Amino acid sequence: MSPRSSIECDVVLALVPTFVDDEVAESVGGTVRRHLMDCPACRAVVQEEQTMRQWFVPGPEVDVPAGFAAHVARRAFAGDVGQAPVSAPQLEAAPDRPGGRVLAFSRALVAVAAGGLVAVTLILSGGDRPAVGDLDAGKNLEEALSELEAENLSLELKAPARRVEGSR
Amino acid sequence: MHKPSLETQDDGLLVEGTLGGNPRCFEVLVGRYERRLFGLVRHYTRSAVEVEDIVQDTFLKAYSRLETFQRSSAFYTWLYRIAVNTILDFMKRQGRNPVRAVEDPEAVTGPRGVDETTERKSIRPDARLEQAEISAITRGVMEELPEIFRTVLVMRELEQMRYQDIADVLQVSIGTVESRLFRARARFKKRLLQLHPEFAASQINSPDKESKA
Repeated sequence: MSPRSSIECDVVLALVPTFVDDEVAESVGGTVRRHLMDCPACRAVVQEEQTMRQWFVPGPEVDVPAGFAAHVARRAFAGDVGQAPVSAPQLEAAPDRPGGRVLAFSRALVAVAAGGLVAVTLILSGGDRPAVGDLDAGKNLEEALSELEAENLSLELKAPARRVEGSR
Repeated sequence: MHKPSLETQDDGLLVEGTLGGNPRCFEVLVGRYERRLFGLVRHYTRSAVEVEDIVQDTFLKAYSRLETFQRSSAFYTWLYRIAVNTILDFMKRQGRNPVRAVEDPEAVTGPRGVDETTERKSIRPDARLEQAEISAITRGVMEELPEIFRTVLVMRELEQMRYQDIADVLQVSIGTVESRLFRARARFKKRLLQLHPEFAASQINSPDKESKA
């Protein structure tokens, strides 16, 4: 306690935030001020508290969209009770799970094998398929369909013969 | 006789006019407080679209509940309460509420619930910093604080609200406001020191320490 002060430092310290916020009763504020005049240590704490307030400065001026009030009033009187839409949550990168790389490698391997299988199938059956030029886009649909039907029929007729050849 | 314009009428009359079916009365009320609400909400999100959505939502909710407004309290305090609830609800729905289950905001971790080492360290903005730079640093720190602390800091430090008004909005006692503010400032300072140690000044001595020396 300082020589002239009527209160202890502990009491003043407990009051510092509210004192700096100007939220203590005038009589209490006066007592704290008198204590601070005689107590440099408590004064330093008050100064520190005031320093902290320096971080809180007003940000840039707020832009309110033109006509906002009229727009809101119109919506309110139209019966809109308000429900701020929630935008889609931000997608976060999936964590690197154990075994994830093995799984990715397996998927790639299967994809390559499937691609290869399709390519081999196409090569082997290439002779039986109509050439691109055989299907004339200029022809009408009925003509194109009848051509395809005829082609299919000829392929079906050839097929048993080939199987017989293969069985030899 | 000259009829006073709606713009100069007090909130109570505008509320009555709105309830009486006059959209212009509500438009004037919105116009009167829109800037303050935009200012409040921007402390919670950097997205201008979200700020506008939340402010609009606040006014629409206020209109739909206007009949419940008690004329004995200030319209702005009532509106502010709706705004804070709308903000918190919005953030909760987006999973952005940083209050963790293990964290009790009222928990005491020291004689006054703060880390005393941090409390004694001084941290002040560099004199060369522009106001906008200080504001940006503060905002970055505030964004990392649990909601319960950020809200009281915004109300007190940035909105300059009195303890009683904060207590009314949050529907807590003045003692709770003091306690939360104290802890919020301690948390703010601690995080500020972690993120920007370059602003740390020399330590100050507590009176106890000095008197013992």
